[in-house]
Amino acid sequence: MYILAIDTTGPLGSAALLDLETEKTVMKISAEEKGHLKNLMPLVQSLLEQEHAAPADIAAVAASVGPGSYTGIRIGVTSARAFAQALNIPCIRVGTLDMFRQKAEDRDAAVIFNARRGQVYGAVYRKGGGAVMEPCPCMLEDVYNCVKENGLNPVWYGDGIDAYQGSEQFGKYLEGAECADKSERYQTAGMAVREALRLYRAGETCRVEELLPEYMRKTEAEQKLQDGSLERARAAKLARFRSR
Amino acid sequence: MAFASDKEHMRKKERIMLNEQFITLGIESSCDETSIAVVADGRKILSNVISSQIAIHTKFGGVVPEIASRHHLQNINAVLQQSLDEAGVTLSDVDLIGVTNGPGLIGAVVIGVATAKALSLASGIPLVGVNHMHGHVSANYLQYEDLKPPFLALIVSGGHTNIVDVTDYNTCRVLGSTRDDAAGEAYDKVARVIGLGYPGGPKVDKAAKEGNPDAVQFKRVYLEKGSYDFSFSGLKTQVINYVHTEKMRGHELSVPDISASFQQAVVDVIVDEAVSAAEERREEKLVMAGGVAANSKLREEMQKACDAHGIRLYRPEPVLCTDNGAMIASAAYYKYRKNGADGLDLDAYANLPL
Ligand SMILES: [Zn+2]
Repeated sequence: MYILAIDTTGPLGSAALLDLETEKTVMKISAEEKGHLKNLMPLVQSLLEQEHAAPADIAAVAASVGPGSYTGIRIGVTSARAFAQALNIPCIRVGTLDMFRQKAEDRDAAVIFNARRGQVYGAVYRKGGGAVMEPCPCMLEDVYNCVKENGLNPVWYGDGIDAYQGSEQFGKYLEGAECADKSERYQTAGMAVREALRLYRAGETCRVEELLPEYMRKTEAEQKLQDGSLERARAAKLARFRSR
Repeated sequence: MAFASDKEHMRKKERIMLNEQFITLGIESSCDETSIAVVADGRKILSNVISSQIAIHTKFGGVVPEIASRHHLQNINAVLQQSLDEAGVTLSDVDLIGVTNGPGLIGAVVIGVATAKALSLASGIPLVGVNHMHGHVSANYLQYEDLKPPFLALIVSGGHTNIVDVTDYNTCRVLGSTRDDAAGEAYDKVARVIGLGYPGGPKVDKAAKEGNPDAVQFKRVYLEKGSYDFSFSGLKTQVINYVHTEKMRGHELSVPDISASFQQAVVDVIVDEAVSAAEERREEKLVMAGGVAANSKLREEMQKACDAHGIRLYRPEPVLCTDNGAMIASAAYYKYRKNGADGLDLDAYANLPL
């Protein structure tokens, strides 16, 4: 039996199968950026073929649930939910930042996913895997300060590096930082399936309806509704409309 | 959610197997309804579960795409289960999975397509992507057992106002379309300006019932002779200007009167164009499709005009005019019969021509 894991939260989607008996993992990564919807199921299909396995051989489906690209998160989570529903098997919910704990076995690790305008989804792990900063939405500056205040010397991961390294406004926080090579920098289904195995062995599976995205932020519309700016914007628009 | 009893389930299953019906699952998530249906032989609805998000989007004054996508994801699996249960089938009874893969809000379409593809791979059931507008036309096959192409179709919705020559189950030749706003779009904008809000179509339709359609003389916009095209942005501007002028004069606005007068102007133009297209092309059958085909005034006036001209009018029940999975299942059935299945690399598209 296998665990199937899916990650479509970053620029490149991937799928992985882990053989529960041998704990051997195979993974395929899409060659096309943002082609998650188109490419994900063909990736899973070719993994199954490669392993001479059938969907019925899958014991649980794991999804990397975010944070990350909203649409990407949804493609992975939705696919995992339907796959699990069709086979009547449990799901495993893997936090995408949590997956980087694995990288902190022998070195401190700082993770930053780009959320634009200096914002990131970040996490910091001390060597050995203890969380110094739990996964959260914050500013790049906050992650930088956390690293400095705790006297850490981390390797940096995540697509926040690509977004902010060399940036006029925010580049200073990454100056001199040791950034992971691109082949190691991003989240993958291979990382997800290893985290999923740990959760599976611990009995931490969930039902289809419990496999939910971790967006980490409210939608812009909800934020605006809450702070009253939706109402103000609507009134202003109506006034402009009428004054034409 | 009600689960069919085992006995009832067995009975239904036997019936289906005895009759050797071809079972299609139809999945629709292109805008603000999550809907999944089970349809037999492309024509008979066994279930058609529709989970509407109208209440959620009302407080934002319109459909918020990001919120719609989030809700589709949360709802779709329960909608699937309910749909199978109500039809008295299990996934293993399903012969084909049809799914809207455009046009629509891309983040919303993606949820249905991702679901359909994962179900297809996990269960080995073939998959077909359906053009949402073909689905709207196909709603008529569910309503009318005897309807077969060719026929002329009037498609009116939030994004479309088309007169279409449906030559076979899979081919729609566009004869006329809107040059600016779709009819449904004009409804939404007018509803916003007169303070009715979202959803514009049903709210204007309702308010119009209390109003006088002759209260305000809005000019009907017809395009050059020989064209089956529409234009509604001028009418929309007339309404905005009228509202503005009346306010400047300190007059009280009558929302029912404006609604009724605006609606009459829209309906007059659509009915005239559709019926004269049918006349000119000597079509005996005229088919209505799309969300705005649920509009009570349009249905009534189309019936009158078709009766007067000896044209047979087909118009699905309002529930089949709004977005639903059954119409997608029907369209998928006919597409599959002609073209076979799509691959697992099926993609979603915000824009997809008719
Ligand atoms: Zn529609």
